[in-house]
Amino acid sequence: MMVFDNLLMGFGHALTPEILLYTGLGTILGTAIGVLPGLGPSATIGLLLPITFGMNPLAAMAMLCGIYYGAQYGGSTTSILLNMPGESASVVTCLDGHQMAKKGRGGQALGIAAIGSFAAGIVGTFLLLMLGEPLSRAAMAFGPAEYTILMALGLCMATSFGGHQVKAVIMCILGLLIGTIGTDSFSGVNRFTFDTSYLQMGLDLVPVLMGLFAMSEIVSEIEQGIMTNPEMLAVSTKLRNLLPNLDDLKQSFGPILRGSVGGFLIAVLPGIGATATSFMSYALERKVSKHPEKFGTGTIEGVAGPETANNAASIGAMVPLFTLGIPGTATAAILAGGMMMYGLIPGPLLFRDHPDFIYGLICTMFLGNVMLVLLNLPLISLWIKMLKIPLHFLYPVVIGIIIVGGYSVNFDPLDLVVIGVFGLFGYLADKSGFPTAPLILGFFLGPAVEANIRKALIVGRGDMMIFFQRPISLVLMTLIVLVLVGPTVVGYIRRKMFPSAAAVNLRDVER
Amino acid sequence: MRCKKLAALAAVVALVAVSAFSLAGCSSTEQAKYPTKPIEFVVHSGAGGAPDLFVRTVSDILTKQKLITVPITVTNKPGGGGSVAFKYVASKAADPYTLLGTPSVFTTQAIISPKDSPNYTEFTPIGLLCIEPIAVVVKADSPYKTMNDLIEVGKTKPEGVTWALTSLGSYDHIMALSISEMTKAKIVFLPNSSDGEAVVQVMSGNADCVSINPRGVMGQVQAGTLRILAVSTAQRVSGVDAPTMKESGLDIATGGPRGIVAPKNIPADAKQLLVEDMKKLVETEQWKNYLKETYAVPANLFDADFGQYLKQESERVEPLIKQAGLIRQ
Amino acid sequence: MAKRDITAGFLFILLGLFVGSMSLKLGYMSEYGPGPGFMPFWLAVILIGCSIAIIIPAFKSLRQGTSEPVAKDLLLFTNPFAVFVALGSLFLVALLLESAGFVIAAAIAITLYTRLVKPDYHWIRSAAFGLVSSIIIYGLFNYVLGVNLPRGVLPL
Repeated sequence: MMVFDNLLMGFGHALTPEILLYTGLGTILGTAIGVLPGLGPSATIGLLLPITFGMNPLAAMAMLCGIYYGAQYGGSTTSILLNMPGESASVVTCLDGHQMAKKGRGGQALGIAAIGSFAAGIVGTFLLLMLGEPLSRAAMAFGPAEYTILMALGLCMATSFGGHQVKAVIMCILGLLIGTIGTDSFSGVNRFTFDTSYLQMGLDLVPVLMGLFAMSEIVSEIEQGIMTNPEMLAVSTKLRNLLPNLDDLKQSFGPILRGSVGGFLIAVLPGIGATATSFMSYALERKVSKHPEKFGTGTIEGVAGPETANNAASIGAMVPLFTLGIPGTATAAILAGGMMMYGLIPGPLLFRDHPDFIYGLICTMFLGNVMLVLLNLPLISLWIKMLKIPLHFLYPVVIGIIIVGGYSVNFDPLDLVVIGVFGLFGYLADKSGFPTAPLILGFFLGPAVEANIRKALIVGRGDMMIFFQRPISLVLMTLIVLVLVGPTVVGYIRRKMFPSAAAVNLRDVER
Repeated sequence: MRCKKLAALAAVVALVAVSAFSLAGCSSTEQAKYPTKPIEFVVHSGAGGAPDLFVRTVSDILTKQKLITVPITVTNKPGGGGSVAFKYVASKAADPYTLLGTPSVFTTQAIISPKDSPNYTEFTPIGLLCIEPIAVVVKADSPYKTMNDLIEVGKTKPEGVTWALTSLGSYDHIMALSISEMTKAKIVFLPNSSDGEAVVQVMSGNADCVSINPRGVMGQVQAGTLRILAVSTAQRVSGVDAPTMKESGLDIATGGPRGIVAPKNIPADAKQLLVEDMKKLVETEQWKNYLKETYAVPANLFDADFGQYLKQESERVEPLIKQAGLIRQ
Repeated sequence: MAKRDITAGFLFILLGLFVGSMSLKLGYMSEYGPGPGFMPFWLAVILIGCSIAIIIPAFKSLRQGTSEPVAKDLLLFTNPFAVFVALGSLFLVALLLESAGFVIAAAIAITLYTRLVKPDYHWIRSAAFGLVSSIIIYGLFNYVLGVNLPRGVLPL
């Protein structure tokens, strides 16, 4: 097989001390910036990029890619430990991950996140190698109409996370509304900016995240006068006791498998990104689970699925970049810029003209993922030790880091005010049973949904039929209808046919 | 008790002050020849984008060639479509230690939102180093072989041509607006939020063409899946096999300008030195390599010539932006 | 809990009315399909609809007396001072950050938080901890990670 010859050659290039060193460096750096909130992979890669000119392109790209997927490993850490997602893709990890940590199972949550990420990295890299080209061609059949419907599907799924469904819809709508703040990208009209230049560019995701999750949690704990967490103090810091056990692994197998394949496939579509995939994975796991009521209380599947999906998505986003030269995310765009500066033009010819580079790079991604799991599993005991720091030292330092993270997004102190405002809102919402996660997905996808609806109608010159005429959009529409109406219809039929079982099924449906 | 607290506080403050001064080193030397202290080079967008790369390349060359002997720190001040950075640098009037890399939005932003963004008269022009071409790109299997084919469809078909833009009010939008005005062809714009997204519109057959920096499409152009109909610059672009707009029969010569400005009223000697440095910079190998890799064409307008250019550009684009209804009150 | 649902519902209805009325001014339609006001308008409509869907059952349960009492850990503002200081300190930092510099602003916030979490902690120790940790954070981010934080009045 050609692929295996290429793979062998790739490993030949990747297994040199220089490349290994830079891959390792990239993964360590990636983990670090993933853990520190407010430092995204895109800023870090941007800063490092000019330094790498003149280096061996393979070594440079191996390092930069290592930062990219390494950041996804680190991203879950603060979500689980502190309920503080560093970026939107690890928001769903908070839901069950932080609950696990509160119950003294933080080690298992971190462990399954690392293992899931590893599986996603390996499966994703393999799929990239085998199916990259045909998949990205297929992705190009997706136009604005298809994107609109796909994103609408994502939003629908995010409101079925358990809890009060109407409240979830309200939060999702609020997120969508917050997403409309700023200058409209189609007409140049300012919406809800109240004549301030600050709001013209719209709110940034990071301050909103920090307020809604980390701040509201900290404020609520301070108010209750919690000074230590007895359950966390009781946990042994021996690595052996912290890692997921056989039962955990068995439970997580399904979510990890679905997350790694599904996350990869969705992320091949440029612009969908890791955030939507992690939400979809959580909703899916809850749907297929035998005990959906446990989601949100610290179940391991709720961490394994989304964490795997967002990591697989970060690999999937490389597919359109490598095979078509189209970057699917902001970070991928920077990597594309870097490759151009090394004289390697990302696109269909990369595999033909520079096989040593591209197969070498893919092999470093295999190796990098191995390094990451070897690095991250032992780190768990360090993170758990961190949780044993008295809260009057831990929280103030976290606040200091929140200040840096919030400010450094735009270097605007007003972002800190946004953190405060959303901190208060999150505090009120948490205590009143309004789930905050749907708001984030609404906010994240809102501008894209709206833009795609309007783009579709521009392409169709105002004809709504564009959403139904194209074959893919038709299929997706049917899928949405099935997701929304399906459970009710199935429940209805069951009730008609087996009246005795009606009560049980009804409860299933309501959930 | 009170005294003890105060004493402790004083001790801490003193400790911080001492350590701080030792870190800062000897920053207060005599007023010597410019430059004597670090220069801050401001980028209007985040780290990693094309504008950032430009500024970092320039500062790297200035440092490596010893044209500037003091440290140069590149700072990213994203936000407000660039106006945050523009306002910041404009506020440093008479300070030659703050420089700004000027993107195309440097001209357009001041026209689009005059309330928030200072215009070119608030700055000292140093040099326009290069112009990034805009390529009009179609799918390789599309019927359009020349710009003329595209315009003909815009004139004859009632639904016009669907034209994907990298973003609203960008230089490629302005170029398409002037093509539409010149030829009376009907162009329906499809705004996007990134270069990648804009290319996807053409790939998926939803847009007829896209106007974009050639960097974003070269891989596919070389593989024969996309085709460049024309480039916007006055001369052909090396490495891109496509005619210019002028050769295609359209009187257009434009592109995204990349230059450097300083705040208003900087000392004459500082300005002189900066202009001389830029003249030396454009002769270096590293700069020529940058031009090649980014498909940019050299511009080399310095000092007052650059000022003249900025004035002309502002006057040229203002009516087009006004006409498109993009100006915010 | 029902009372709180009703309050929230009415607040969201107010928000919906405000957004809805503003969005109509923005332009509901444009040349091809929805204009800038289209999406906010319909979002406002759904928001109002959902709010009503929350208010009605809450009223019902209130009348029937089946409303659950609010759980102890869900009570709001049991210590309003702590909430006020915790969130207010962020506004203070926003005010001070660019004039006084990161180190001073963050040191104040960290000091306040130390005292908030452990009110009996000695304030000089809190201040010392605040200053030291804010200097360490500044050093880490500014010098090691290359994030330009405002220097302010301190000659760092």
